[in-house]
Amino acid sequence: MAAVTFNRVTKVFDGKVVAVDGLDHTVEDGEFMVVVGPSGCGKTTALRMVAGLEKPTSGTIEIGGRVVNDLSPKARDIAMVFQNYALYPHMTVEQNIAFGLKRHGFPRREIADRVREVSKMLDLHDLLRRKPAQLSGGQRQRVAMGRAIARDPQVFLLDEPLSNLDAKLRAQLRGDLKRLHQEVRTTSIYVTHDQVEAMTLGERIAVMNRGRLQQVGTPREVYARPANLFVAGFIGSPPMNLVAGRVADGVLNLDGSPVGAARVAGGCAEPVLGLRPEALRIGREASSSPALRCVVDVVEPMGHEVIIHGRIGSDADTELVARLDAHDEPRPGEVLELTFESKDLHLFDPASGERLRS
Amino acid sequence: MSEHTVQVPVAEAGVEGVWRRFVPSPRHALLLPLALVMLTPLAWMLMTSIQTPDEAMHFPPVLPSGIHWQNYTDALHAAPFGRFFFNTALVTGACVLGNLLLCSLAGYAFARLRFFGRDVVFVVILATLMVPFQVVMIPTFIIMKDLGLIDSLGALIVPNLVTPFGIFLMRQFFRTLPIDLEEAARIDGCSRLGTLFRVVLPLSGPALATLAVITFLYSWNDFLWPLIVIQSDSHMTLQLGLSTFQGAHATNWTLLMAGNVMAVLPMLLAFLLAQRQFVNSIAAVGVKG
Repeated sequence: MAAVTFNRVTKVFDGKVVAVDGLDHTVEDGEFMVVVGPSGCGKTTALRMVAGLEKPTSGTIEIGGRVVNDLSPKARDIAMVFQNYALYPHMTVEQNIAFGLKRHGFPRREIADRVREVSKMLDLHDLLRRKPAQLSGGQRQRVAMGRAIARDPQVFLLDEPLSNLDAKLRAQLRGDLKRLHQEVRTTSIYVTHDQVEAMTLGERIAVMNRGRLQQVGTPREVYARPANLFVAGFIGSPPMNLVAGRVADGVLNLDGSPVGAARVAGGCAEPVLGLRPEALRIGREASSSPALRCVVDVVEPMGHEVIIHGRIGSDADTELVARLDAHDEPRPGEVLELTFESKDLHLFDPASGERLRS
Repeated sequence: MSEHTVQVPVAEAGVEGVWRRFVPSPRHALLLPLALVMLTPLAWMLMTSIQTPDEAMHFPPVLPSGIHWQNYTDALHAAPFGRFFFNTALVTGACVLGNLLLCSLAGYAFARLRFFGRDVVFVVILATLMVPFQVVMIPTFIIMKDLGLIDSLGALIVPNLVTPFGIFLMRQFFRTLPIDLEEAARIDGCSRLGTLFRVVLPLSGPALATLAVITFLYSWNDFLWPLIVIQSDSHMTLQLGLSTFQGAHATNWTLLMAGNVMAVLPMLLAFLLAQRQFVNSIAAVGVKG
């Protein structure tokens, strides 16, 4: 096992497309790090550079303290699970798992032992004689995992391994993956665009956008204290409400409603205010908490909760999403008094997008 | 990935299905005469090969009075057909193997490796497809002469070991394979060549079969080039050997046709065995080019 370190790694394609821009980051030994971001943010390129499938334009990548920039994928002692599994179609499951072991010169007996061990761990023994075309999506995914685990590499690289599966299977395999990592404790880098996967799987999350690292932290940190507007909007479902605020007469206002003292804005006259949909509650009695009048447009019942899409402000022209208790039974057209705790208010600089208060 | 859809034969529906195949449709009005045009020369060849010389020269043509197998034994005695057969098989075999190996290597380089001038070189190779053989015949002859290969089987093999068409065919096919498989192979510890031989080629059955069939047909049937570079009987190929039955003043038609039947048989067999690949190849190259 080993830590993976990016030292100012940049990757430029064809001299003009900057895929990864000055990435500085360390994935600790044994850690499960999820790299998340929208498509085209450079996360897969970063992963492929660790694998040796792409060469950094500048900067160095270290695995276990050793610079690997010029090493072939074979010499890096890594294993990768691809989005479409990339199982060899002409080989049986057993041959697929054993292929890497053979190429790395493992003795025959050990190959047999490891294949047996992995197939037991991933419940593959009934499938060993089958070819990939005869397997379901979930089974293929498990074989791909098995192929990676069998080699017992220093680092696992996973490139959106669950994205080709249906929602139910995805949720199940998420659990399996987490359990597997707790068992083997191999340093893992997991790339996904799905923030739910990132939150549930990652010990730490690295959020990327436009080739740059936006924030690294535990799922809790990234959710509770997003470093900038991008992270605030990307992590969380439904996403955080981001609305323009204004400081006037020593008071911070949100569309005319006072929501706090001016000092929280840190001298910024028109900060962007962020409120998670789940931070909003229906105000039942007069309290000291700030309140917003919201006209309900659409109600989405989810069973244990309802998501409402509404409008706030004096002209009712600012859209807002709130996640309320199912018992509240809001109706379209209804006007609600929504309250929230001041501590749930996030403030961002509109120019730089950075978080304003700590 | 490389899963082929298997065409289900109509026969699965039993007798009814078989009969459905023969329901005449307007297409047959065109296809049947065309089939007749295609089959007539073959039938005539077969017929002439079992006729007496007198019957063969009769006009209008007549059906043979009996089966004269004699023509076949005579043809085999008139010329060293065994030798011709062996030479042709050797040349064809070498060309097929050479093309499979070398076109795969070149095609893979053009499909996947990144190197300076790759696309330009590829276009130049493609462009040579447009140059007719007659144009390069003499330069090739001179090269063969300099290599000391004239009047040897080497002169038939060396210029045909790798073909631009083969490179093109393999490159186009390799590009359709998912690149993830090759990347997985490299992470699993394969070199570039290892990836080609252990992962890419095992998945390239259809393309390899196509190339083998096309090279086989071309090599087996080649007449002009052997005529130019081969002089001695012992190095002649079948096509060349057959021409010995055609003199300047008279042609021994019955023996020539008996020889032809023997020369055509392996090819017919190859075509029947690999008919689908052969048809696919024409479609594949046409569509994906």
